[in-house]
Amino acid sequence: MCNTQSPWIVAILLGLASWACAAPVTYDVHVNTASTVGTVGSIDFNFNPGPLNSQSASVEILAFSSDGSPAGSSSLTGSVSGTLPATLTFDNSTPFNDYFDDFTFGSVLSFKVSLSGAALNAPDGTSDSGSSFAFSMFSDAAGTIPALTNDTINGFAFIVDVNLDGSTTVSNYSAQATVVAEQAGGGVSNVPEPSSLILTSATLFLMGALRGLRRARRRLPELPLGRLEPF
Amino acid sequence: MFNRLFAIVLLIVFCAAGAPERAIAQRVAPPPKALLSKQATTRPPGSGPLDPSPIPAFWTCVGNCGTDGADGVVTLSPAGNSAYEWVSTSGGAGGAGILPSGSLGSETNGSTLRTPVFSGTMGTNLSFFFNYVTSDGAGYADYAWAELYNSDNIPVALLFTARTETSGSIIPGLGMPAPLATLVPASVPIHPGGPSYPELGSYSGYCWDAGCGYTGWVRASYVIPATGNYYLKVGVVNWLDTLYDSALAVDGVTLGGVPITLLSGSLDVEYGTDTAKSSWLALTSASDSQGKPLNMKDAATQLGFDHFNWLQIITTDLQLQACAANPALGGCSSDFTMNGKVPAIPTADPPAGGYAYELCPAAETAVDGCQSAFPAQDYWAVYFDEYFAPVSASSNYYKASPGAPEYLQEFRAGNTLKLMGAINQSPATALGFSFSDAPNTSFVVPGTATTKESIVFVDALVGVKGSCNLLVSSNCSFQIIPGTTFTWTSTDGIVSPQLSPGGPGTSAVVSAALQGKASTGVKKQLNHFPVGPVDLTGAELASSLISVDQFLSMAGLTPDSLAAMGGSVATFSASLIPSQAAALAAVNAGTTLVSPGQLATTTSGLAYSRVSQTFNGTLTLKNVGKTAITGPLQVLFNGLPATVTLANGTGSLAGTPYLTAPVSSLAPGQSLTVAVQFKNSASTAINFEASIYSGSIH
Repeated sequence: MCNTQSPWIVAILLGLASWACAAPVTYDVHVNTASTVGTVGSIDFNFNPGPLNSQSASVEILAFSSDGSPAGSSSLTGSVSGTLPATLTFDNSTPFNDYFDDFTFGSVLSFKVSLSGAALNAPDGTSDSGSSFAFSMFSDAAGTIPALTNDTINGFAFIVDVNLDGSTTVSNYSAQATVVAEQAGGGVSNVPEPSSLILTSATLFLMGALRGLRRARRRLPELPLGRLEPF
Repeated sequence: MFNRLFAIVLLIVFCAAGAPERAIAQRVAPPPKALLSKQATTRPPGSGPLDPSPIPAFWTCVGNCGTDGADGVVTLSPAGNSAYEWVSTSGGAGGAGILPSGSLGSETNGSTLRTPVFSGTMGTNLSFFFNYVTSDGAGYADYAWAELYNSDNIPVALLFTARTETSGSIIPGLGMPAPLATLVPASVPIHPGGPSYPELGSYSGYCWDAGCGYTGWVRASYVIPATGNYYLKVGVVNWLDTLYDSALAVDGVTLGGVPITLLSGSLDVEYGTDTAKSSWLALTSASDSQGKPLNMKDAATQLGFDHFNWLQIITTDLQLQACAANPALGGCSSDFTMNGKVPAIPTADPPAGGYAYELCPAAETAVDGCQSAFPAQDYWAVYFDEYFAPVSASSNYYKASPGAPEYLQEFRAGNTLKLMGAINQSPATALGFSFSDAPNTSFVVPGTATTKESIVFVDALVGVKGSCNLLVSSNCSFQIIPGTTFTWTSTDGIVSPQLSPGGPGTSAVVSAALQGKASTGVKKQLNHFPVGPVDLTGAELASSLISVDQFLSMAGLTPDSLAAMGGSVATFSASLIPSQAAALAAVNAGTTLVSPGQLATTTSGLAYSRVSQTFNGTLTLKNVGKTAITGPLQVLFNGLPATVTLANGTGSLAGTPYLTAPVSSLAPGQSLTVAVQFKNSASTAINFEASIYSGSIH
């Protein structure tokens, strides 16, 4: 299937792929919380697998910053560790992985969501469930009244889905929040991108494969008229 | 017969003694029409022997039992329940209801009712209420009792007795063994008068003579002597004749003040084939009241059996029918039985004593002890032998093995077809009991030119009890378990619930020409369990399942002929495993199963919402086949944990939730994504197996 006459392409692709394996996907999150300044509410992060078979993945909440502050003891469920504003670490090894904390809102809130693991950089092609990260804000300490979101039913501010092909998808329900993918090298892209390195690698691979296929077709002997090529 | 003679003798004696003619005539005559008319008009629906309310699941009745609320002279018990259980001599069985320690001499007919097995800790107080009701009197000393048994069916303690007497306390019963329970009140006179109680049948409201009436509720208490598994059995029996019935109501069985916790939950059955459709498979399993797998010994014990077996009846067999018409046809002799003929259809499979092909060569007998002469199989009707065992896993030959007969080889480690696990498990550790058969039907029927062999079977799971590991025994019996009866066909090597014998529009034409050759050793293939069994779903399942009545009809059995085989029908039912029950409901609702190979099902992760307290995600269906799939699509969520519900489901099919994906058609390569939302009260893993059906639910 591969174009064996172009080993240099394979080598380059392998090199790119290994580089991709090491790079997490990171989103910069900024939330304008000015409309809720002084509110003693709560925030919630959770990162969970799907109901079928999910490949392993993990999430870190980095660089948490706000002029507001956590207002009480945090509640951790499942495979999650850390305490805000320090780094939080989640993985999807258990069904429900959640960090919930009372929070007194200031005027701004920001953090990074960094996703990594085999589900992103080495999708196995056999798993049939992705994983999802969700962030929510509430105007009450119990976490029952959604804040700063248009999703009044479930109260999500945004969700990042880890898809089966290793890409990620952001669904942003909050007009006050921006969720921007960091580009390789530390910059940001205004448009959330699927795992760009893997996409690039796949594109290069497909180009090489197509080129090889064209060559191979040219080498096929002509078939008699009316006779089908075997499958 | 004896009763009628006795009554006639009594009549003569009483007449000679100048006894009142009215009383004698009342005793020997059936109830007057006026009485029957009264019963027909006053009888509450759902009670009594004409239309008994069902007894609780896994309780076992012999004779006539049921569940009732406050009715006539019997009020609700002090336990505070809304109903109680009862047994009655009305509609009772001959010989049933006799005291466990043995007959007192003149019992006639009666009934017994037993609870499932429960765990009892030494020193714990077992308590229950009972109420004895009798329309008899004056020497016709009907009686009732309760006995505590251990799970090995050994009587542990006689708890109380009550007996019809003309005067005085009727609890404990006169002339009966002393009961061991503490009774409150300790001494109970009868509330006199013809008791109005529908469970007495036509004798409700009538009184034979002094002694008729009811006791009212009495509390019995007994301290469990040793930690173990027990069940409670109650009985009531007629004395001297079958007239003027008596009944016993029982309620509020508690252990340490807490209602008994039954080990039982459900008995399930699952059907499948191998991928080549050359074998037919069934597996039974059980779960306790918390849904946890229950081992097969406990399951059988709770149901009143020693163990399980399967009953298979051949209802059509072209080869056997051809051989019956002309035994000289080639290959027929291998299917001869002990009487020198092929078995007449319908026949138990294997027939009593087995087939000639199961007789091993004399030389092999010397090596492994296999049977070189009939019987090669036991005489019981059940499929797996209760006395013999195969000499090896792949052999058709059997040897006497009463200590480890063949049925023991079919207990398995797993409780689903996909994960059924190793065979030869002890019933006490096994989680499943399997049936498999792969008859060789890939040959031309003897005496025909081209007709391929075809066999139609009907099958049932049976509970077995008694001394069945003997070639000859007077107390081996089995009960067909409703909910487990099915039919299947093997034609030219392919098993199916649908194929007609001989194929569509054909039948075996027997001729004198020996054009076919029967295969040997085709009737019983014990070890053909495939690696990759496939559950029956959709139309195949619907075509396979039959009722007990259909089973009996196809098998040519009547209640009497079934009883002659040692068989009867159990009073409880088994269930299809949930996924097959849902599949059956989906088919019955007018949908068609979409082959799993045609639709790929994937999901997103599940984000948790504190607002709606749900786990939220999406489910994507992609047509990976080559043809369009007609919508709408119904997604069944099989196997959701008990603590998980589908919050945005469209409805449920046989208890399994489903979600309708509103699409008119899904072209090859096209995908459809729908939102899914789960409630998960215990935050356990949410998992399920999706099955997709095409069409609208009607």
